[in-house]
This record gives sequence, C-alpha cells and structure tokens, in this order.
Amino acid sequence: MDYQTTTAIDDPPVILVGNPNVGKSVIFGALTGRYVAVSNYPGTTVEVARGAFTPNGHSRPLIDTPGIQSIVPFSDDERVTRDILLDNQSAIVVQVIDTKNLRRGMLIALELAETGLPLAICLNMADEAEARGIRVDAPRLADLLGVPVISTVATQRAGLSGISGLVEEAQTANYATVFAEPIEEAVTVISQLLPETAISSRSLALMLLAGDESLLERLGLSEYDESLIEEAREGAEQAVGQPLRFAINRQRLQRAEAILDAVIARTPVKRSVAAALGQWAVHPVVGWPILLLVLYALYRFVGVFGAGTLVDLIESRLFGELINPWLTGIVNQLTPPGLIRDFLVGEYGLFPVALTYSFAIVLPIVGTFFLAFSLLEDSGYLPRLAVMLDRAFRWMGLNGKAVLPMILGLGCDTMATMTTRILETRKERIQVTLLLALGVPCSAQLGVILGMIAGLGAAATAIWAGVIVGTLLVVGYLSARLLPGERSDFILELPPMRLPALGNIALKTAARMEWYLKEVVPVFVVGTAALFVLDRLNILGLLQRLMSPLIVGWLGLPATVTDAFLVGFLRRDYGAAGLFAIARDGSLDTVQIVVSLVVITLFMPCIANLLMIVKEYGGRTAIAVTAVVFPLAFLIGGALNFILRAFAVVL
Amino acid sequence: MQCQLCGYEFEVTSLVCHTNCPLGSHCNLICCPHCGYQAVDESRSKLAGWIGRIFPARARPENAGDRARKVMEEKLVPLSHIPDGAEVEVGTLDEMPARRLARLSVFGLLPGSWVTLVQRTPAPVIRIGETELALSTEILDQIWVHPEASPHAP
Ligand SMILES: Nc1nc2c(ncn2[C@@H]2O[C@H](COP(=O)(O)OP(=O)(O)OP(=O)(O)O)[C@@H](O)[C@H]2O)c(=O)[nH]1
Ligand SMILES: [Mg+2]
Ligand SMILES: [Zn+2]
Repeated sequence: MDYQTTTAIDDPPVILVGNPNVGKSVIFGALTGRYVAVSNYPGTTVEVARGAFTPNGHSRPLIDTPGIQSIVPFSDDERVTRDILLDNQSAIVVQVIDTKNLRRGMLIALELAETGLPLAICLNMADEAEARGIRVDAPRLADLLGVPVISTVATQRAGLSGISGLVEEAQTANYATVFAEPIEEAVTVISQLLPETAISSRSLALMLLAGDESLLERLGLSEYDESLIEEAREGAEQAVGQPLRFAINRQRLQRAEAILDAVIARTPVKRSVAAALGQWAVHPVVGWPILLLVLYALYRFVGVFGAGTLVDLIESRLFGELINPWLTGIVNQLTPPGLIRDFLVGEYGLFPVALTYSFAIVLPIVGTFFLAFSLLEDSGYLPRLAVMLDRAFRWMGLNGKAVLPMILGLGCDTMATMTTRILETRKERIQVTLLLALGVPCSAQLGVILGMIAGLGAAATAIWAGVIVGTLLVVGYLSARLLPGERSDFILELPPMRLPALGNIALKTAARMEWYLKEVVPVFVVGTAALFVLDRLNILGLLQRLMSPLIVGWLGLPATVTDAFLVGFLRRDYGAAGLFAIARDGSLDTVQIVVSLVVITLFMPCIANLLMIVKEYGGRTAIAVTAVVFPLAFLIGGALNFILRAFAVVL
Repeated sequence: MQCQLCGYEFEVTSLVCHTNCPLGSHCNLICCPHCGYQAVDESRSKLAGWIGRIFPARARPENAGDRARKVMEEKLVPLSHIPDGAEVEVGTLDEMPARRLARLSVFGLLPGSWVTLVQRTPAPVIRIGETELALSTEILDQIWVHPEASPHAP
C-alpha cells in the first residue's frame, strides 16, 4: 500500500464485517489494491488487515476482519472482530452478505443494527444466488432496515464502485428486534450499569446476556456491578426456561424470517454441475476414488514434476553447470585461498549449500505444492476431504477440521503450525502441532524421501509409510487421552465448489512462496554458517563420536549419518538431502536406508517450526513436544532396525 | 461410589479395608464394605488414572426414558432416522449443550426451521437453506424432527 497518499489515516475507518467466506477479503483487495489471503474456505482471514481506499476523492482507512457467525464470539479468533467494533469510535460498518445465504447474514445484520453504528449492506455473490434461482429485492431490504443496500459480484468487480456511495449514505438502522419480556427487563437493568462505549448499551447488554465472558472482562466493571449483571442474567434465563443465547438467536431468526419473506423470490432451477460435484466429493462410495485421484494428481505434480523434473532442471543444469561454477570462479578471483573462500564456496559453503538448497531444491518443490494446495483450497475440495477423513481423525480424538493443517503440513510444517489456530480447543491445537512436528514430512523433505525410496521398491515404501502413519495414529490416540482438555464439536461448513480464479491462485502462491523464502533463506544461511563453524572447530567430529553409540549401535547405521541427523535440526529436508548424498555413495544397505528415513521423518521439526511452536504456544509446549519427538524417533527407528534384522527381512 | 460388582452404594471416605490394610491410607484400592470387591481409586493412583483414560469404559446411555417419551408422545424422531434427501421440520433441540445449540443456531438451525439430511456416511451432512454443514453422528442424534417430509421437497 502507498502510505503517502493516505493522508487521512486518522479518519474514522470503514470496517468490513460478515460471515466467513462471503468475499470480504476480495472486496478489501479490490478497494485497497492490497493483496490479502482469499480462499474458498471459511476462516481464511485470521488477522485484521488494514488499508486505505478513496471513496469520492477522500482517502479513508479500510479494515478487513475475520469472518464471524455472530458478533457474540464463540472463540478467541472471533473476538478480534468484536474488539475492532468496540475500539473504533464512529466507525462505519459495511456488512458483506452472501446473497444466497441471506438468512445467516440477517442474523448478523440485526445484531449490527442494535449497535447503533452507521451501517450499510453489500449483497455479494449475486451470481451464485442467481444460479440457484434466488432473487433478493435490494431496495425493499434497504427500506425495511433503513440502511443502504447494494448488490455485487466481487470476483468480477461488478457493483464495487457502489461502495463509495454506501459509505456516504451509511446510517444507523431503524430496525430493532424486540425480545421476550424477561430479556427486555434484564437489558434495561444491565444497560444502566454499563460505561459509555462506541456501541450502544442495549447491544452490549444483549451480548452479556448471551454469555459473553470476554466482554465482561473488557468492560472492567466493579465486582458489585458484575454480580448484579450475573443476577439479572440468571433471573432472565430462569424466566425464559432456555439457554439465553439460544432464546435470543431464536427471536432474531424469527425477525429475520419475516424480512426474508418480504424480500426473497425463488424460482426452481436445475442442479448445477458444481453442486453435483460437491456431493460426489463426499459420497460414501464415489468419494473415495475422487480422493485417491486428487492425492495421485498431487503426487504427480509435486512429487514427480516438482521434486523430479523441476529440481533436476534447476539444480543440475542451472545451478550445477551455470550459477555455481560462475560464483565459484568469481569468489576464487576475489578472495585468497583460506577461511573466507571456504566459507563461501567450500564443502559447507554458503553458495553451494545454502543457496543451492533454498533456490534449487526447496523452491521448486514448495512452489509446486503451494500451487496445488491453492487450487484445492479455492475449488472447495478441502472441507470435503475433511468429511472423508473425519473418521480416522475421530479415532485420534480429533475431527475432520484437523485435516487442513495436516495437509498443509505436507507443504510446510511451520506454516501448518500457524494454521492450527483454526482448531477450536487448545488441546486439539497442541495435538495437531505435535503430530505435525512428529510425522508429517514437509514437501521439500518428502520430495527427497520419495526420491530415495522410489528406487527401493514397493515393500520398502510400504514399511516406511506404514511406520509413519502407524506412529501418527498411535501417538494421536494416546495424546487424545493423556492431554488434558476437551475436544470440540465437529461442525464444518461445506462451501460450494467453485472454479478457482487463476489470478487469485497465482497471487496466493506467490505470496506464500515469498513468505517461505523470507523465512527459509535466512535459516539456511544461519544453518550453513553454524555447520561451517562446527566443522572448523572439530565439534562436528566430537558430536559424531558422542552420538555414534546411538546411531551405530542402536540404529545400526554408519557414523557418517550423524551429520545428516544434526543438519536435520536446521531443516528437515536439509537432513534428508544429506542422507540422499550418503545413500547415493552406496554406503547404506536397504534396511539402513529405511531405518534412517523413518528416523529422519519422525525426527525433530526444523528450527523454524520449533520457533513457530514457541511463538504460538510458548516455550514449555515447545520443550514438551521436543521431549516426545526426539526419543520417540530413535525408539521407533531402533525397534524397526531390530525387527528387520531379527527377521532378516530382505527388501 | 457404587460397587461395580454388587451395586452397593457407599462413601469412599468410610473405608473399612484401609484399617486392616498393611499399606494403610497409602493403599490405592477401595474395598466394597458389602462384598469386599476391590476397585482402584483413580483419584489416588496416577498410573491407574492414565490407564483408565487410555482404555475408557463405554458410556452408559443416558436419558433413554426422555427419548422414548419424545418418540411416543411428541411423535418426534432423531434426524438420524430420517431417509436421506427428505426435508423435515426441526421439533426440538433440547438435548444439546448450550454451546452447541448456540453454534448451530447461527447457521439457522432452530426449532421450526427446515433441514435436509444429505448423507450419513462417511460423516453426516445436513442442509439448511443454502448452507451445507458436516457434523458428527452424535449431534445428528440430538436434532429431533417431525418425520413427515415437507410438501415443498423435490
Ligand atoms: N462466485 C463468486 N465467488 C465469490 C464472490 N466473492 C468472493 N467469492 C469467492 O468466495 C471465496 C471467499 O472469498 P474471501 O474474500 O476469502 O471471503 P472472506 O469473507 O474474506 O472469508 P473469511 O476470511 O474466511 O471470513 C473465494 O473463493 C472467492 O473467490 C462473488 O461475488 N461471486
Ligand atoms: Mg477474509
Ligand atoms: Zn460390593
């Protein structure tokens, strides 16, 4: 964003609010020219994005918020949106609604009407509503609510120019929901106890009645006032005879239905191809071949094309024959033989190791993965994959929602660890974080592993995959029962299948690759430097000797493998690549390769992943995860070695 | 607690067996004062607590009587008993914990709204208006509906 033209950044902001997956981020991007993540998956936006847009020649701040089902939050991330509304004095709210799901939009609109904030409504996805034979009378809706309403198709930029007008004309809605007598009485009592805030005290009182604990904390009332509120709440709940939040929503929904009856017209239409595809994708029979097909396509594209063809091309041709010899030549000319030259182009040198790995091996693999993942995401297949795999995850005390971070982990565990936020309970987040760190190989590592194992035949591949999947299942099962905390309900919205927009796919893949490079290249450089120092000071040799009883005696591997394991600390794929080099020399037999691959897959997460765990869950969790992963990797590797040797398995 | 063998109800604090037991109050077992059956006191033995959590006992069916009454008197059935594809009206959701109720209500699932069971395996999928939701079988079982299909179903 260009900050120089945004002179009036202190102006009251315009806030985009609405259900998940209704197109808020597309609209934000179109208005500000700033790219924010967009995907066909509810809950894409997890952090607030700010930008500026210029309605009628006057620049204003624009805020994109995480999607909500209600302004009374169910979880920590949904609180973000409510807090934005509380924190911004005299903000203008533009609610984005999915036209075909007007009922759900109205539930939020009625809540927003109560806040007293200036409101305007953007009925987005008009194209999809049309295709389903749903027509909404926008002027009539505007009349009923007393706020301006426009109809848009954000992905085609249709109608978006009307948003400037919306902002001008936004006003407090004149449509109120009247609740049952006991609730209204409680609202009156509580309203008098509340401090002045950006939003009306009636709205705050209703949120408190709905049981919003986090709001109560924020308001900072005296203990006495809090007890009065609690008393009013309990009184009302008893009088109503239902959980209050349910009763309130019920009355709002009745109100919404009345509006819907007045503004919606339906015409019967034939079921679309996308709808049929969406149903096949979760079909108890047809769903499985589709799933296998998707996984196979993913493997062909990332594993064969990315990790094979592209890496070959870039690593051996571009880097091996052109860039590295050229860089080595320059360095040799500019520096005298010795420390600096070795540091730059020696065995553990910056150019041949760090740069080659990050740009020639990791980049093509990760790039193809992110591209494939974005396609899956925007098509709407991912939530359907969650439905197919729900049962397996249920066994591990999780549910289908955990599929998304696990699949993303196949791309990059660090990024996946960050997305564990979409899970509802802390227990589930930590469980998935543990499983990711333990046994989900990231695409760069997976590429190298598949390359190594492909030459060994089906039996070796099956043993490797079986041990990894088995470990994940057992650790999942045990952690579900041993970790304190609860599991969440499985309630997952299935967005419609859509044809992905290529522009968005390209932007998203580029944005993810940029993020990845920013994160990976420094780690590579630091890691290579650390290795160089360790090597120079002969600490590498010392560590090798220290670890050799474990490596040689217990795992039955040659001592040189220690190197690869140590490097695996820095990046998992880095370690796998080291193994690859050793195996290529012919110094490992098949059993040794399988054992070492199992260990390096289960082994520690890379440093970046570990740091992400610290950032998201704190140092103690990171240490606990390490304390589980590290011994377990060696335990299982050793046991596998023992079993394969004892039964003299020939692979 | 209740003895798992004979069903005798007793207070864990008034344990006869601890007085004769060589381990005294360090003993992790509870003996039934009626028949002498020994059960592990999971609040005292950490290890037993962990093992108990790894192999959880099957939960007993609760509120069976209440569910029978709904079927007999209110002529309601759980959504899990409705054929796939039929659109039916929600009768009551009174068995749901408040949090689950609130989460479903924002999707428009409330008594009086119309819902379709799209499929039941590999995970149940329901449709409310234009919203498709995947949920667990357990939740499906708590959605009580009027079994007559709607007139405006396809
Ligand atoms: N057909 C159609 N698709 C749209 C339209 N607007 C957005 N989309 C698609 O809807 C999906 C969701 O868009 P987002 O902008 O990520 O939605 P969001 O409201 O920011 O969602 P969260 O961040 O999850 O709350 C994407 O796949 C968009 O391409 C529209 O007008 N028509
Ligand atoms: Mg968004
Ligand atoms: Zn007994």
